Amino acid sequence: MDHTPFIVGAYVTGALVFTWCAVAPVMRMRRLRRDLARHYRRSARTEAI
Amino acid sequence: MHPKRKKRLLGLVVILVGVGLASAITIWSLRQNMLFFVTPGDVAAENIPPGRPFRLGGLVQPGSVTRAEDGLTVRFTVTDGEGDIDVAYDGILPDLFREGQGVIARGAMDQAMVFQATEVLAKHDENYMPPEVAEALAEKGHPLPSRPQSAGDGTP
Amino acid sequence: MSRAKRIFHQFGSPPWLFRFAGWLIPWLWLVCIALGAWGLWWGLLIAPPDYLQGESVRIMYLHVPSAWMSYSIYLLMAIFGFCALVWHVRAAEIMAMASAPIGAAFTLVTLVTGSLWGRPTWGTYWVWDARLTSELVLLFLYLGVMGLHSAFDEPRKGARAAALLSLVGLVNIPIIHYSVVWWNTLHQPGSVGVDGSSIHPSMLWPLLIVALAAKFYYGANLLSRTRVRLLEENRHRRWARAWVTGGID
Repeated sequence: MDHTPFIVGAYVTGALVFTWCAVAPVMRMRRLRRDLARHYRRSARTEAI
Repeated sequence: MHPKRKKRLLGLVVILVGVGLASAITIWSLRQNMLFFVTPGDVAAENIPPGRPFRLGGLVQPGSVTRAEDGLTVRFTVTDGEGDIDVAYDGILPDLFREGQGVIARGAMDQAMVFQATEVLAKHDENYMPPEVAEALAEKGHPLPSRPQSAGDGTP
Repeated sequence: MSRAKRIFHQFGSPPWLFRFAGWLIPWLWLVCIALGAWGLWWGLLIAPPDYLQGESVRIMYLHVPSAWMSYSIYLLMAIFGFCALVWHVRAAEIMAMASAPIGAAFTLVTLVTGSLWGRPTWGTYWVWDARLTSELVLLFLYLGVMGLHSAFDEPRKGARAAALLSLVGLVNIPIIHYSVVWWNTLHQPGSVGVDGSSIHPSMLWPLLIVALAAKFYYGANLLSRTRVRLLEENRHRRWARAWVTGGID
């Protein structure tokens, strides 16, 4: 039996899962920062008025 | 420590010890039922009747592997040092199936006390080494599963 | 206040932890990637094939470190959860909850790679033996902790309920570890222990290097998730506002 597809399959799965798991918090941080920046700007404007 | 924290700590420890004890007792009582396979020695001791399906595990006796004339049915002996059981199987054997290697077969005993297997899995041991090291060890007389060439008819 | 106690309190202080994690994360990633690349290059290209299994043994360099991490992370998650329940340390609560998805990822990889390794060696993708079953239970425990955490409207209540579940699930850890000793399993006994290893050094070294890289991966990922939660919860604090608007790390 040729083992290559099993080895490649294992490492592709690992790469996908670990990349996704590492990138998810980075994306969430970016989104949170953008939302908070907008929120702070808006509250600063209402305070000024 | 703050008395409130002390109470929380105590409560948690009681829960953990309780859960631990409960599961320890459960596991202890399940010990026999959670066996994935039985060995030839167990089969002899427990007198399993023909037709009742179970999993048989042990080593393939070196020199016992024979192929029937149809080229499909393989016969071999599974041993654990305490008993031997003859196994018949007509399917595809896993790559790691070798003489001297561990196997787990699923099936049942027939009337002639031959284990009719419907599935054979190879059991691996915890040793990993390069082929050269295995050869060097074998030359020094260490017991090792035979090389694929010597069990040539074992692999499909 | 004793020195140890001061460090403990500092670690629990959100702005300090946020800033410290922000500084540490790039270094952890750097070490993780360097070690991972080194170990996998060694394991995949340099290390010899196994005398019995042939090339399929190369799955070991991913499977075994993942398996070690899958239950080490669970142990850490339970320890963080314990601190959160007894001393109400917020940082420990966040870190316990941030550990769950990372542990789940390692468990998933362990199960999938094990399955892909089992087919060419044992002859089957899956059997219900004690080792494989208890590892699957571990995945469900992680998913249960994550689910329970998000099931509550009040995040702190959810985190505490989930921490309690993680402590109860702790009984599964010795079961995973000793399953191959207590019961007859298809899975072979462990190869690496305190008293040595039955893996040839030419294969053991790359394995240990990848295992070390996995620890750095967990550290970097954990701190990165912790930072998100810290910022979310402290959005009304001045330091959070200063960081978002000023972009100072």
